[in-house]
Amino acid sequence: MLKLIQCEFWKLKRKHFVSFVIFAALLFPIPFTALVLAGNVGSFTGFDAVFGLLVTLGEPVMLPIVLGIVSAMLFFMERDNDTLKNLHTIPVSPAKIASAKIAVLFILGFIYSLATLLSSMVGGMIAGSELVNIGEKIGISIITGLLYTASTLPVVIMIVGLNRSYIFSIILTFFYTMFDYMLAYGGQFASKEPAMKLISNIFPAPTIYRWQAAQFVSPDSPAYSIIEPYFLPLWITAIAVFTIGAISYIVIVKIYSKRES
Amino acid sequence: MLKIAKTEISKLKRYSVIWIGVATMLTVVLLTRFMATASDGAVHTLENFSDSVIWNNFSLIFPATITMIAGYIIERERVDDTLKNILAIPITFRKLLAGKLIAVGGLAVLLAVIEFVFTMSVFFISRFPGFSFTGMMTALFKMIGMNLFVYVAVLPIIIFTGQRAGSFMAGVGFSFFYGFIGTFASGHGLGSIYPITVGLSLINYQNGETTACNKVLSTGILFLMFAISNAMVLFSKNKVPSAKANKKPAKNKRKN
Repeated sequence: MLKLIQCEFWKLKRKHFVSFVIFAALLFPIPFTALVLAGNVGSFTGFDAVFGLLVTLGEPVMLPIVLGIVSAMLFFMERDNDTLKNLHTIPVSPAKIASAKIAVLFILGFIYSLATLLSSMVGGMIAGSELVNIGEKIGISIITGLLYTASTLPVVIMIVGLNRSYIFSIILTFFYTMFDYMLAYGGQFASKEPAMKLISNIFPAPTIYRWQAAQFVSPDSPAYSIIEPYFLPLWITAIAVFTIGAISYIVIVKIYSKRES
Repeated sequence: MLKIAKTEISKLKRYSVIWIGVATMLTVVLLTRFMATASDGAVHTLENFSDSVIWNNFSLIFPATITMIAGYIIERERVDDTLKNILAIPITFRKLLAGKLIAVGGLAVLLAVIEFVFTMSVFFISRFPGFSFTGMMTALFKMIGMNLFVYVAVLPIIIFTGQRAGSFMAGVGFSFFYGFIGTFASGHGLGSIYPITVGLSLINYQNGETTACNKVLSTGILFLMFAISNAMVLFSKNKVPSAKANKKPAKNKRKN
């Protein structure tokens, strides 16, 4: 399996996408550092503010989109180059290939989260603050990266299942990410409408957001008393999101194995 | 030049990417309608519903969509290997690029009209109050204006990635980021400086109540973006053949 993952990275290397993932992770810190320097980020300042903005606003939008594009590249690569028949004869099962490709997504999610942390450290230093609580921030950053990677898997089902063009897949990823983001940042989990409540409990971003809010909303903030009843502990968030991820993984492997066998 | 643009419009009819543009417009309107359902108790008139559509369109989807369509039709010439035939006519890459950009500009207007039709349809189906003919025409002009201004703001990205084979997807990703940051720029008094949001003050978004509104500065930024784009087109080159030509003999040498 490790060899397969390594092969997937070699294939991606041709498309220069690992560098694109890191570049994408370094985009948001620039405007967010500017915002912090302008002193427009509530009660947080310096490194805390840059990190908070990146993890709660930058990563939830950029990471699923980047991973959606990478997953289209990964899953369409064998189809476009007609190389699956070669892999079959080695023999490597489609289930193993699909698992390796999903593992690559998680590794890229991990790399993205570390790049986000590093860029927020640079932003924090530019904003003139000391880099405090690094250990805690590494934990939050990695967990966020892995949760959002798992949250991207439902759209990978659509990408693999529909098996259309790159453009179609990217648009699909955009729509999914935007809708998920709107549910979370529009505060739809607090809606009184049962349908809205159900949707925001099914989609992963609102669940992740509720865990993140518990980490970032200061008790001194006026919003604290409003959002506090919706806080979620990490274990509930992890179970909910990784259950969606696990179901998606099984479906992706099944679809991929069925089509290519 | 106009003939090239006309040819590009004819070619556009063949591409399914246009339907993706239509789908994005529909999605933006439906997303706005969904958000309107979620905002309990608020009254949605034609003016604030169409303004919300404009806001979601420029911040979430339109910059990436128009960059993708433009990038796709430029890249198509390389993928279908038709660029060599066009260059042999001879039409320079610069002229071809300019023709394509004019055609995509027309498409930006068409997508605004489609966005308007969807907005009005959803408005009537939802039975929101506040319909007036003047309000309807204002919404149409605001949508056309905003799409054109956003298009001018993303032109340098399209031109930059259009010259490099296989790089338009990176341009789409960057345009998305560029548009998304617009919400922060507008919320922090930079609406008249940030290229994506300058259109908001020019179309008099929400009567200038929610965004920084300096029309002179906004017009200046827009002209600057347009001038940069023109300069980029003037010095544009297709950067693929030379790279390939350099690589091929090296491969042959190794084989020998």
